[in-house]
This record gives sequence, structure tokens and C-alpha cells, in this order.
Amino acid sequence: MSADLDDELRRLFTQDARLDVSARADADEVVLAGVRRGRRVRAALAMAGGAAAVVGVILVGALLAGFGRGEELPPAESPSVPTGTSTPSSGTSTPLTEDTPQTSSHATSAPGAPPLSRTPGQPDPSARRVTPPSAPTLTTSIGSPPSGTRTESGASRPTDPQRSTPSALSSPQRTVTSNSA
Amino acid sequence: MGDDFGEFVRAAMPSLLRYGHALTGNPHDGADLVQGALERVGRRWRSVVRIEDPVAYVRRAMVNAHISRWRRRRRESLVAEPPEIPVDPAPSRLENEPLWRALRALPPRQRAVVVLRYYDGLTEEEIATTLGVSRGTVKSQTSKAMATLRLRLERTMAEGGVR
Repeated sequence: MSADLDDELRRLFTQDARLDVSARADADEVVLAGVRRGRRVRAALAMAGGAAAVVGVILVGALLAGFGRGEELPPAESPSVPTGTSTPSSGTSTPLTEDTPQTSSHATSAPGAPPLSRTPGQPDPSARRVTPPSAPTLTTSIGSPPSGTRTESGASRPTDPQRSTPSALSSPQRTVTSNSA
Repeated sequence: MGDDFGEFVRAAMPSLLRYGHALTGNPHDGADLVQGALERVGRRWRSVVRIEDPVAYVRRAMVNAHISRWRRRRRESLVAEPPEIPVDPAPSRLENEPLWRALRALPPRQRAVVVLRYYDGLTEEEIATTLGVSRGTVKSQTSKAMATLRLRLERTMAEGGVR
């Protein structure tokens, strides 16, 4: 039975004329037209993909080129660090704190809030600075501080031990207090 | 592409149509299979023409396309009403052949294994390479196909069918 089946299958596939299919007269033209159509589709897809890639590259390039150029930053200003007039021999230095009286006239403040500016000579009521009496502080003031403390530059400021806390940005400083006043 | 591909199509078309008929069990599906395979081959004819036997290459492309189509179609979708059954305008001349009817009832992969073995005369190793499966798979598919064919032929003989 097995040999018969094998023989029958071989006979059917190789010799049976009923398996033949007559081809149309234009069968080859149909196939060639399909090949040309497929090639056109592939070429169109490749061109579309290439164009999309070029546009994408241009957009990304423009985006990256414009990034960081949008706004002109103002020119940097050198910080106006008040310079002290002390000499090394006297051991004075200048704190970078708000010991300098500010006379901003356009400063606004919320109702009830402490004023952002004060008149030179008036002690700052909100200041909570504790300075050891023995820690000398040298300040440079612009304007005319009230009498009581004299700095080496000749300016005097009120003697307020609570206002002479060393700044976090500066090293401990010395203040030369004049007791002769 | 050139005229060489046209010449190849004209020369190989009859045998490819016969092969497609044997593979699909239907002359119309076979013709569609041949056309699709030739169009794919024609797009890269310059590389295919370097192969030793382009006809065998096209036959293998037909087998793979036939199995791929079967894989896509076998995912059944349930419908409320049965679809319309197409009427075959020209019944195959082999409809009265019991062996042919038994072959048509085989799953496409088993039928492809039988065709590759008895039509192309390929070995199990060559069939495994063509279908991209293991040699054991080819053996099992062949065994199942032959058992099914024998069973159906015996039933036909028992029913008094023509053998």
C-alpha cells in the first residue's frame, strides 16, 4: 500500500496531464507590468522616505542652531564690592554686609513689614546680630554713620554689639572702636 | 530587469502553473501564487539570476508564500452568519480523482511537504531547508500526511469509489 501510494503520487505529479494549467496569452506581460509597478512603488517610497529624512534633519538642525540664541543676555556687571581703606597693619577689613546704609527711595514694602530702607544713623530694629564685644569689626560705610563707632577710615557708626555678626562670605573681621569720642 | 526576465517568465510559466496547481489544489489560486512569486522575484532579478537554478528558487518562493498565506488566513473570526460560499466556475478535471481529493484535504504545510518530496524529488534535509523547519518536523509532517492519505483512500475504496 505504501509503495502504491508513493507511485501514485509520483505519477500524479509528474505525468498526469490534468494537472496542467493553460497560461493566458498575456500572462508574461501581466507579470512584467506587476514588476514595474512594484518598482515604481518602491522608488516612490524611497524618495518619500529620503525627503522626510532630509526635512527632519533640517528641522532638527534649525532647532539646535536656534537653541541658546533666542535671548541676548545683558552684559555681565562686575560686582561692586566696596573696598576697604584699611591697611594690613591696622588689621581692618570690609564686610560685605548691609552695614552700608541703603537709601533706596523706591523700595516697596508690605504693610506692617519692616522697611527695606532706613536712614543712616538709625539703628536697624530688625537686626539681630550678636557680636562679641571683644570681636573687632571693621566696616566701611558710605555716608555719614552716627557717632559712636569709628572705623579706621574715619567713619563712625553707632556702637551696636548686635550688628556686628561676621558675614558668611567673609572672614571674621576686626573693628577698631574709638573710645575717645 | 531586461528581456532576460521576460524570457524566463515565458519559459517557466507552464511548469510553474502546474506546480502552483499541485501546491494549492486549485488552478486559480495556483495562478495567483505564480504571479505574486514572479513579481517578487522580478524586482530583484539581478541577484536571482546568479543563482544556479532560478526555477527552483521561484518554486521555493511559492511554497513559502503559500504557507504564509495559509498562516494569515487560518486565524478564524467568528461571524453571526455563515459567509457566502463561492461557486467554482470551472471544476478541476481532477475532481473525480480520489488521490487528488485526499491531497486537497491536507493542511497546506503537509501538502507542501508531499509536493516537495514527490514533485520536486527533494530529500528531507532539502525540504527542511526550503521550509525553514527542522528535519524532525519534516518527518512528522510527512508521516501525518501519508497516514491521512492512506486512511482517506481506504475509505474511498470501502465506499466503492473509483480508485
